[in-house]
Amino acid sequence: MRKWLGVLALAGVLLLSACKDGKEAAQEAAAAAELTVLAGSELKDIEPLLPQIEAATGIRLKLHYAGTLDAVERLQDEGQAYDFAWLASNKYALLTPAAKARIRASERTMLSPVVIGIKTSVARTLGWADAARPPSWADIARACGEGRLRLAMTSPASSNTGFAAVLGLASALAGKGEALELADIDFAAQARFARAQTVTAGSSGWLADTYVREEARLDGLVNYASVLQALAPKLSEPLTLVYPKDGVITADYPFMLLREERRADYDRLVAYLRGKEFQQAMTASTYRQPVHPEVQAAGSKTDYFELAFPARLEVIDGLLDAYLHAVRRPADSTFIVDVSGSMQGERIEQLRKSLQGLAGADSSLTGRYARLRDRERIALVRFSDHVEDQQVWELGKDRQRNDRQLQAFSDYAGQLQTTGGTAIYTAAKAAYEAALVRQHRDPDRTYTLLLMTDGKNNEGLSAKEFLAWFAALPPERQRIRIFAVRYGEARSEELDALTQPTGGRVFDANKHGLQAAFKEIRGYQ
Amino acid sequence: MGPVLALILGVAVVAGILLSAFDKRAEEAAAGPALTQVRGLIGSEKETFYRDPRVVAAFARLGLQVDVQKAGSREMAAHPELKRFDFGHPAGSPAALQLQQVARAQKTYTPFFTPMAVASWQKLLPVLEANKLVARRDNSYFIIDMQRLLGLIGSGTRWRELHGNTVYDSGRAVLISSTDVRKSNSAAMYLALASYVLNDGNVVHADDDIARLLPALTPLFLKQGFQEASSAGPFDDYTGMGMGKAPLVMVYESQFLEYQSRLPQPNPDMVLLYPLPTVFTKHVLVPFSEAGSRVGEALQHDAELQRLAAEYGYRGASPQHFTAFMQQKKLQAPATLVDVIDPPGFAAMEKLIDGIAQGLQ
Repeated sequence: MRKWLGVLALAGVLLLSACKDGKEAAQEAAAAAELTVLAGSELKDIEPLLPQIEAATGIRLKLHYAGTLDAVERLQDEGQAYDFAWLASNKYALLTPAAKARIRASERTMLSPVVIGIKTSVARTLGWADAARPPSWADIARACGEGRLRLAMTSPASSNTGFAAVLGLASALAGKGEALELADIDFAAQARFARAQTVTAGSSGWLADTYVREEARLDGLVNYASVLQALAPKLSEPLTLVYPKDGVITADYPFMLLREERRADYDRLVAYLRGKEFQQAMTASTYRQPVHPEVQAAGSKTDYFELAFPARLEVIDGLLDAYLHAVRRPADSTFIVDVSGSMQGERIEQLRKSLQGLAGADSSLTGRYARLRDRERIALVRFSDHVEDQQVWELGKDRQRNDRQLQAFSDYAGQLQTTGGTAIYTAAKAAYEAALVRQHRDPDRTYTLLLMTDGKNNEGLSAKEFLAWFAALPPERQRIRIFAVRYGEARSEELDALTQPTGGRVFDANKHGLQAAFKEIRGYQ
Repeated sequence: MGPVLALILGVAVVAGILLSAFDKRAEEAAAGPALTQVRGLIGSEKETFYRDPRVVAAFARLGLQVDVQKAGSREMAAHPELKRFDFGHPAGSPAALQLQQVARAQKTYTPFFTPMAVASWQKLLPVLEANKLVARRDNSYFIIDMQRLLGLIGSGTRWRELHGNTVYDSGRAVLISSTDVRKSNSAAMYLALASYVLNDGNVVHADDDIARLLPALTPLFLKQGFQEASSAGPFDDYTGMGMGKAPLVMVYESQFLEYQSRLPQPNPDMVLLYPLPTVFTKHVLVPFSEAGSRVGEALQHDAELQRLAAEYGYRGASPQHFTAFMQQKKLQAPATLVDVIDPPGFAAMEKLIDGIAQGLQ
C-alpha cells in the first residue's frame, strides 16, 4: 500500500510538471532539434548565418551538401529524408516529375547571375573591359575558339555554374530570342567555347580556390557574380565581370519544403529569410543580390538580360549529353586502384561495382552523367605492393565500337582480385609516367589521375621520394592533377601529400560509399 | 519513501491539478469563446492577406481562426487531401467552377476581384508608345493594345526590331511572361484574353474555333520556356530581377498595387499597363463545410475585411474602399474599367489549356 501510494504520488508530480511546462518544454524541444536541409554546395557561405537564423526563428538548421544533379537524385530517391531543400536553382528538379513531386513549396531567397570573370588586362585586349559594351556569347565563343582565353569552368553535369554557362551560350547562339529547343543548338560554337576550358571541376567552390592558386596560367573563370566579387581580395590581378550582352542565367536559391509536417516551420523560415534583417546580413557577407525591395545589394550591381530557361528536360539532357560526349575537350582518365589484401571481400566487390557503374551499369541520374564518355581514353592501373598491370581502353565516336570497349573494361573490372601489400607512391609514379608519355603524343586532352586506396603505404617509394621525383619534373610536365579516393583505413595525410602538389584533392568514400566518390570525381576528369 | 512524504506529495498533486484546471478556465475566459478552426486552400496571391494580423483579428472577432495553405489555383481541384480543408479560395472563376464541381458545393462567394494587367517599366514607355502599343488614358493610367501586341508576338518580333528602341537593346523576342498555364490562373486569364482577341473579339466556345486558334495561342507560352506554377514566380522576377528578365509580365492588378503600397515610396520605375480589352479575375471562395461558408460570408459582408482586402489591391463589392486606399497611397488606378470580356466557359477553357499543354509536352 505504502509503495503504491508513493508511486502514484510520484507519477502525479511528473504528470503535473509535464502539464505545467508542456508548452515551454515543446518549444525547447523544437529549438533544440535540428531540421535538415538538402543544400547546394554553393550555400556553404550561409553557414555563418545559421546561428542568426536560429536566434530569430528558434529553428536550428543542419545543411547536408550535394552537387546539382546529385541533389535532384536525392530529392527523388530520398526526398523524405530531409525537411527542406535549398539549392542554387530548382528548375532541373521541377522538370523531373519524381523530384517535383517532393517539393511542397518553394520560395526564392537571393539572386546571383552566372558570369565570366576575366582578368582586366585580358578583357582590355579583347575589347570587353567597358561594362556598357559587353561582348555577345558569339564573340566569347570566337575568342575561345581562337585560343585567346584559358578559363576555369565546372563540369556542366556536376555543377550549376558550368551548366548555366553552357546553357547561356546555347540559348544565345540559337538566336531566336526565346526558349531553347534541341534542334537549335549550335554544337560547333559549343565546341569553340569548350576549347577555353583549361580547368574543370565538380564544384564551383573548389574551382574558385583552384583559380586563386593557379591564377598565373589562367585568364579567368566562370562563376557566380557574387563569388567573383568575394574573390577579389585574394587575387593578384583584378577580374572584369563580363555579362554577355545576349543575357545570362541567374541562380535564385529557392528554399523548398519537402515534409508537409514542417510547414509551420517553413513559413517562419521563409518569412525570416526573405525579410530585411537576413537579406541585409546575407548580401553583406555573400555579395548575392537581395530579394527584399528595401535592401541594397552589397557590391556592384549591373543591369543585364536574362535568358529563358528551357521548358523541356530533353533539351537540357541533350545539351549535357552533347557537351560530355561530343563538345568538351576529351579526357584521358587514369584510375589507379588498390587491390592489396585489405581490399578483400566487400571492398573489392564495391570497387568492381563502382568501375562497372562508370561503364554503364549505373542507370541512376548521376550514374548516367558519370559514365565514361565518347572520345575518352581510360587507363586502369592495378597495384598492390607493386604495379600489377596497366591497361588502356580508347573510346571513339562509334557507339557500337565503344560498347565493345566498355564491355571489355567492365569484364576486366569484374575480375579484379586482391593480393599483397600497398605501394601507393610507386603506383602513382608509374601511372604518372605513362600518362606523360600519352600527353606528349596527344596533348589536346584533359589528363587526370585518380588513385583509390584503403590502406597505408607500406611498400615501394616513400612520400618523400615521390615528392622529390615530382618536384624535379619540368613545370610543363607537372600539369596532371592527381586526385585520390580515401577508402577504409587509408590515411588522409598520405593522400594529401600525393594530391596537393599537383593541385588535386581527396574524396572521402567513407562518407557516401565508393560508388558515390567515383561519380563525384567524374566532374574533375 | 516514507508514508508521510507520500501523503504530502499526493495532496500536492491533487491541489496542483485543481489549480492548473482553474488556471486554464481563467485563460479561456480572458480569450473569449473558443474559435472555430477553419482550414483553407488558397491561391498563393492571397497568402499575405490571409496572414495579416488585422485579418486574423477580424476573423477572430467573428469567432473564426483561419489556417491557410497555398496551392496553384488550377491544381486545387486535384489536391489529394482536399477533404482536410473547409474551403478553397482559388483565383479565377474557371478554377473555382472546377473546384465547385469536385467539392459539390451548393453556394460560392465572390468577396473581391481584380483585373489582369501587364507590369512593365517607365523606361520602356517611349518605345511602347512609339510602336502604338501603349497609350495614356485620362492622364492617369496606361492601356496596352492587346491586338497589336499579340500581332507583334505572333510575328516573332524582337525588342531590337521595335521602332525607335534605344533603351532595350536585346535580341529577345517580344513576349509577355506568365505563369504555367497548366497550373495557374493568371496564365489561364492571359489565355482567355488572347483567345478572345485572336478570335476577332469573340469569346471562344466552339471546338472548331479552339482547333483553329491553338497554333497561334501555343507559342505565347511555349516560347517563354520554363514557367513557374504560381503567380508569385513571374512577379518575383519582375520585382527582383527587373527589366532585363521581365519587360512585360502578366499580373493581377492587385499584386502590383499591393507591392507598390508596401514600399516607403512607390517605385517610380514600375508601371502598370491595362490591357484593352481586359478580363477580371474573380476570387471565388468555394466552401466545403459549414465553417468554410462562414469564412465566405465574413469576407463578403464584413466591412473591416472588405476594407482590408482593398489594402491588398483588391476591388470589392463597392469601389469606395479601393478608391480611398489608392488616394491614401498616392497610387493611380482607373476607378472603373471598360471593355471587360468574359473568360470562355469552363469546358472551352479546359480544352484550350489541354491543347496548350500538348504543345508544351
